[in-house]
Amino acid sequence: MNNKLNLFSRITNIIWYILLIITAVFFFLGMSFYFKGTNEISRISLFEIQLEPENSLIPYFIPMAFITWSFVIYGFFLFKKLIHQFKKRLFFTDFAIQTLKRIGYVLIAYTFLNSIIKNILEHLVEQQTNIRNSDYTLSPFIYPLLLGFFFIILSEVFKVAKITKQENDLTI
Amino acid sequence: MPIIINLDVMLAKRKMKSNELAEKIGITTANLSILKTGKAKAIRFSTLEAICKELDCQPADILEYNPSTSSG
Repeated sequence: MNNKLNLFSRITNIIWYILLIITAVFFFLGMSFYFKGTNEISRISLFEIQLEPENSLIPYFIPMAFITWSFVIYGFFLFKKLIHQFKKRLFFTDFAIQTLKRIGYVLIAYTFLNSIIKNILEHLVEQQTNIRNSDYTLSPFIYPLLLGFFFIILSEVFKVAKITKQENDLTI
Repeated sequence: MPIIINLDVMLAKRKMKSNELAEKIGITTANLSILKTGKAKAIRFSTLEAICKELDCQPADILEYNPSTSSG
């Protein structure tokens, strides 16, 4: 089991560094949009909505995209810390219980924030272009929402497991 | 806890020390101390059997039920 945890920890670390690189790239691209202008960019995709670079909504929604992305980064950071704890074979601890719950809340908050901002942007773009988007789908929201609930339920399971372990440790 | 462990009494009767008994029955001194001080949540039959065998006694000599004692 230790080998699997070590392997999973390494994969998590690699993904973490990739996420940091992606964040840096998006940050510099976002900054270059503000300072260099839009000459070299043909189209921008924000919240899965394709926008022309000259669209006046973009300067307001790029920071919002960073805010929602920060939820993803924070959630994965918590997950990485949790895996690190599991590597030390500290499973049913208060830290694990709290971290699992936090990951769940972060995912749920991300889902709601992302969906609200996306709907606002869609509405504003529809007003600008007079083209109504009839392609509504719930799937981008369902999966992170369900995953968030899963982590919260897992936190409760770990709470019960912690009590069971304590009783087992005090069984002579 | 209403269940009282009278291990100290039996150890005194048999003139045996705690660490001696712990070594003979294959548990740590710390675990035996947990048992003696009433902090244990449960005891395995195998542990009870080993204690009774080493102290040459019955489970009733070690375990006592006193409902007036409050739960931990």
